[in-house]
Amino acid sequence: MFIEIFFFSLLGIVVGVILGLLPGLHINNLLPLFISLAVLIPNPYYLVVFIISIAIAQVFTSFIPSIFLGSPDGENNALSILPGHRLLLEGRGYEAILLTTIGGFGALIISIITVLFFGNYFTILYDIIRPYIAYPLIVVILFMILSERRVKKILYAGLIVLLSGVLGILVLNSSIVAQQNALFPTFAGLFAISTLMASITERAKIPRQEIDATLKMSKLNIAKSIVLGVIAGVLVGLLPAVGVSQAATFMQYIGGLGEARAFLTTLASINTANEVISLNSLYLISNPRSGASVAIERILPEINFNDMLLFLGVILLSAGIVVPITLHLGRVIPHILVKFNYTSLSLAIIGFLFLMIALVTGVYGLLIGLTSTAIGLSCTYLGVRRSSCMGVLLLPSITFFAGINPLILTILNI
Amino acid sequence: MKLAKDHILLISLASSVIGLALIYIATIQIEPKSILISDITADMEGRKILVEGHLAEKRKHEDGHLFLTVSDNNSKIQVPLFSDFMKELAQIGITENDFHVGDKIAVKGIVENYKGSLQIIPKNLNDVKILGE
Repeated sequence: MFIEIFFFSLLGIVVGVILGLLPGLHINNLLPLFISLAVLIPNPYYLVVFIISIAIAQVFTSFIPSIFLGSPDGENNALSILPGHRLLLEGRGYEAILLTTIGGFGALIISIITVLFFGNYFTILYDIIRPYIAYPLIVVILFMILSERRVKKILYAGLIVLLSGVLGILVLNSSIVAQQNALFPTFAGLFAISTLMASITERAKIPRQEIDATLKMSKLNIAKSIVLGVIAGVLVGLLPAVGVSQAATFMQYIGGLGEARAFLTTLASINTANEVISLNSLYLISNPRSGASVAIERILPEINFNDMLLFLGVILLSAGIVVPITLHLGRVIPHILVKFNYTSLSLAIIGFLFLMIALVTGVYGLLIGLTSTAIGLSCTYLGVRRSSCMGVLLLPSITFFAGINPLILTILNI
Repeated sequence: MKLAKDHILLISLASSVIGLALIYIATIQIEPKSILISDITADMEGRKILVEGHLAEKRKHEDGHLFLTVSDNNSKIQVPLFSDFMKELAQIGITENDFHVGDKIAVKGIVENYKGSLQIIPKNLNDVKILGE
């Protein structure tokens, strides 16, 4: 059985690396396909190991297209585009990859230790936090808006939060696009396409990249970013309607991690911690919170402690193999990229994203993608922080946790 | 023609508002289709549908959730009304006591998969209608 487990894990890593490198594609889009493989694979554990390895591999490699191409694979790393883009244009794209890898791997180790020693207490934490989660989210939105400082910018930030918030409420509660795909055109437009379009109008060029292992961030700040990322990952892994992006925005403002390098490290930490904590949530309270853990629940309805140990082992194995692959790709890809005209490349990626949106979500998805692009561009040209666009998830989360979602939908008649 | 930043901003803001309006109109115009419970499949997950049937079972959870089982033509599906939803329903005068086994009921909601079983999750307070006995 060990050889088969190892084989399926390796297979998952290969698939995950490829998925991670393809802009706009995420494991969540392919889960129904993977679950259908259950009839072909004799032992359900092999399929579970395959899915876990894909999820972990993708978490690491998905930062490559989001940093180098400005296109995320979805909600989980959409916010990485701006700080990653900033570092890319400074010639420090490889450093951005290095930071996400360090953040991701560090968070993996800490979250595995956390789950092994404190995992049983998470249910208590969940019961304590859940009734009050709306309040810190409100604080985050207020912080986000008021930190613009100047009155005009505060009003503009409020406008973007409102526009993106209304978009989020409509998209997450409408049936014009299947719910599980609704966030793809939303985030692609808000963060990826609008960033690329703005770069084109500003005639940005990718400068020569410095491929070295120098980190312009102190070890203390790296450690702080990782630890805060794990804490945020615990919240994401436990609470419904709190996703990676909301948690990252929360940490950006409340945790003081607004600087590009710190933010990227934290975002990567949250992503990997979330995968570990979600598995733990599935094991302890049958509450899967990541796409991969939802799929695992369908394949293996009951999970015991030995299963958890196996899965944690597979996570470590996958990460151990994917980290050097990611770093290698991070060194190689810039050499390929600088040979391309950035405008042409950006246009090609925009075209690809719209094509993916049309294929996955149809005409209404395109409408959502165009609207979210317009909001993202408005944010850029109003000169407010792009994180204001996180109103798209923060406002719906606040209405959900405040228990007023049904009332709002009734008033809107949707 | 080179577009000034102010022009791009104006076009973006106008497009945002128009886009939101169009999404809203599409949302309220598209009525979920009415289907038989036996025709609900896993690939409908995430879509909004409408089912009509009879209330076969109701079960209250200690956290305030109300779990309804709706049946038609020998097929059943669970419709969970979570505690927040129940609190909002109470504001408009509907409580668990208004639901009687055997009542004819119409439910609109999103198809979700919970531990391998499909459910319909209503979101709007008007999504659950008791049509009579």
